[in-house]
Amino acid sequence: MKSIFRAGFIAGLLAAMPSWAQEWKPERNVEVIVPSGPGGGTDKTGRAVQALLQNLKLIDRSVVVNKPGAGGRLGMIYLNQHAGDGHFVSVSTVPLLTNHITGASNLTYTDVTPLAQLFSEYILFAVRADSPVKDGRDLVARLKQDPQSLSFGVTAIGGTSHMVVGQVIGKAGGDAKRLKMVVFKSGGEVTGALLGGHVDVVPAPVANLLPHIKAGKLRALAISSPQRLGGDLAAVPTWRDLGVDASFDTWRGMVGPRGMTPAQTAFWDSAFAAMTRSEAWKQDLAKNYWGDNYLGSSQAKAYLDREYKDFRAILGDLGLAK
Amino acid sequence: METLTHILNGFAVATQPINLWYTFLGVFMGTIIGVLPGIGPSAGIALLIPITYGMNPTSALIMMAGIYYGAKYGGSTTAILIRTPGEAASVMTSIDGYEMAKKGRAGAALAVSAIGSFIAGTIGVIGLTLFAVPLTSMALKFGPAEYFTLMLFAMTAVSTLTGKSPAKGVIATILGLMIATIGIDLQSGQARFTMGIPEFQDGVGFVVVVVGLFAMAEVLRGLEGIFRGTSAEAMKIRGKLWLTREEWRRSIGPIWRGGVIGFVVGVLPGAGGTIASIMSYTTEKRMSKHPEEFGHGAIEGVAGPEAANNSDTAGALVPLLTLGIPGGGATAVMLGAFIMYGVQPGPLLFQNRPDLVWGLINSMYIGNVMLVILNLPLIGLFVRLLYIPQGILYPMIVAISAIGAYAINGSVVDLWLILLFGVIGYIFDKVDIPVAPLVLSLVLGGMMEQSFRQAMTISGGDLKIFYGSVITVTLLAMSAISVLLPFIIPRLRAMGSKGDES
Repeated sequence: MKSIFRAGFIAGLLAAMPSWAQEWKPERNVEVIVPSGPGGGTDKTGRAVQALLQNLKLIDRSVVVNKPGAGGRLGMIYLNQHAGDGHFVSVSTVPLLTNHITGASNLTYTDVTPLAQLFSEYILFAVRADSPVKDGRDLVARLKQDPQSLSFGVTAIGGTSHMVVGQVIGKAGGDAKRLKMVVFKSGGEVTGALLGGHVDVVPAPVANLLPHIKAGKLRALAISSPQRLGGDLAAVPTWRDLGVDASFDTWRGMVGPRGMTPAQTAFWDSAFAAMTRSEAWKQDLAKNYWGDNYLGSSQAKAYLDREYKDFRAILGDLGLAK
Repeated sequence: METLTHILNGFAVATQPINLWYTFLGVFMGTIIGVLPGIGPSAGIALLIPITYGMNPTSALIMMAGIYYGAKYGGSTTAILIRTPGEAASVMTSIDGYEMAKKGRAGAALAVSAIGSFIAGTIGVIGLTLFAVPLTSMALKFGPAEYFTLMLFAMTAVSTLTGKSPAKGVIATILGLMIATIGIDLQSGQARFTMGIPEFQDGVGFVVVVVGLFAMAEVLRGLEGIFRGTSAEAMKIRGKLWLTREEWRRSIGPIWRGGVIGFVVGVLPGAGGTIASIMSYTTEKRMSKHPEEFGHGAIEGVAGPEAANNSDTAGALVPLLTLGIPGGGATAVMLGAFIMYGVQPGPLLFQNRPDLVWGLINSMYIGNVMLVILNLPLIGLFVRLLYIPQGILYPMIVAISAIGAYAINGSVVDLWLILLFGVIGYIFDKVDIPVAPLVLSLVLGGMMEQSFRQAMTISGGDLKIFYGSVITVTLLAMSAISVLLPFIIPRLRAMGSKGDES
């Protein structure tokens, strides 16, 4: 009996060999998993990617599947239920790393197959136009003197906005653990609380704040990018411009389930490379104030290694790392 | 004057044949999505996004908005007929609407939902047309302290939902508050009462609890009836399908009030349709001359909440269009769609794209007319559901509830939860504990706790923040009056009668 199984196994292996030695492409419907509910940046990313892959004829049939819950963990569990199946890809987000660091999840980027890094989103610091906080330097000076003197609106403890503030104040020599963080359900509520004067400072993705800055209701203090950006943000200094050695980007990428074959990874590598080269993708990036930082599968892994170390350090300073 | 020109131009945009077609398509899909429990407007709109790629943004947004408000029309259907709310905001309808159906007045309940939705939907759009810009600044005045006092005021209504025994009402309220604490606590980032189940990190879903407490419990009660041979005869339609003159007279006030309540609550990004319909229900019960009929098929308990959850959609478009701030899932998906089409909602939208804004708003007047024309004839079709034999109807309710609960998150845990809450609802019914206070405290509890703690963080632990603004002081005073009034009125009456004697 055993030998029959073994013979069958070897035969199967032999049959499979040529296919992953040569090429692989999807034969069935592809599921693009969004590890959050409809609405919001992650959902937007998944839908933009799926629509483009489809429109550029890089894949035949596909569908977006929302798997919200537990800070993205349920999406990753679902992805790994299809281990080794190239028909499943998921949007990856910063919590894939940070949830592991804080102990909220036992899954991280090493449990899945990184396929690409797609783009960076920088965090803009804004106050109301009539705020007594004059500029970024003034903000840091006030918080160094008294970390409780200003309140911040964010969407999660240990989330990207909280981490950026922690990094800036930590590097400037303040006490990041004692900062006043007021947590709201969504980015929209945070923006509303700032406009209404209920919180003093909001660090948030550019797209959330820029329309109100243009309308003169809010004022930008600084941005978390490593270099000064152009266009609408040309006048906004980076933290480095202001003498604080801090920069931070919140990114989104694509991952596949664990145990993907090299041929499957190669297929997705070329698909995402072609997608990010397209004019339509560049327009999507510009509309959402997303910064191009495309990296293929092998570089993506190395990038995530570095990010994991950086995030651990920041979350450690905030007293949140396990 | 300029605005008037823009509004008139908007009508020209909305009445273009192509846009009329998309309005119809949107409201038609919305009705279907509303009828199906679990599949809400946010999922429906999200599914459309790839199809609308490359479409004229105005037409696409007109269609998406149609799905959003159209779904609120459909949500009452299953609530009335099989005690399963098709949308979270229809939860109050499954109390009195279903009781009306049991009394043979399903047709009237469905009709008053459709007409109430139409009138209130139109009130909402008028509000949106006239007050969108001034209301924006009111919405912004609502910070954590204001939301907390608003929730406190809404919470004082719990006594109106309690039955004869206050103790039993308290049991239901506390259970609801306890369920509301399950999940990751926003302010600390810590998981509470998740029992190691990852699905619990986001809390126990409201729709899941409600489907269990209402629909599954009803099936269990029905089964008991069948096994004991005491099952009531199948519900039939008694009297005419349409509203009687008396029913119509009783409904008109709640529809108007519900329309206003829904619109105002809708403007606040933190609240939403479910809170609007609960507020309308408790308002009607308090104002009613016969509050004892509520919970036993009072038409006011259907007309008010259904009106409120419809005008809420128009209210929710105020912060979306003027600030780019979505108040819930459906408006968040619409915001994503706006940006995808290269249109930025926010303070400059009314100046930069008046054609789009007014085309969209004015299409909603037309969409509401289409919906009422579409929904009224459907009543005759839907009430046929009541003639299905129980042996087929109960398994069907279980199937619809299970599909609905599963469709929200695709989670098997939610299926176990509807069973669990079905059993809880059945036991509550046996020992005469009301479920409405549980529903109320579950909706309000989480937000009340979070806004309280947000306010305390902002003020550094100083309670002064709760009496620091006109809004909070007004809401606190209203809460106090609402708690004390039931004690004061009998005394005043007693004093009055004494005065007569002397």
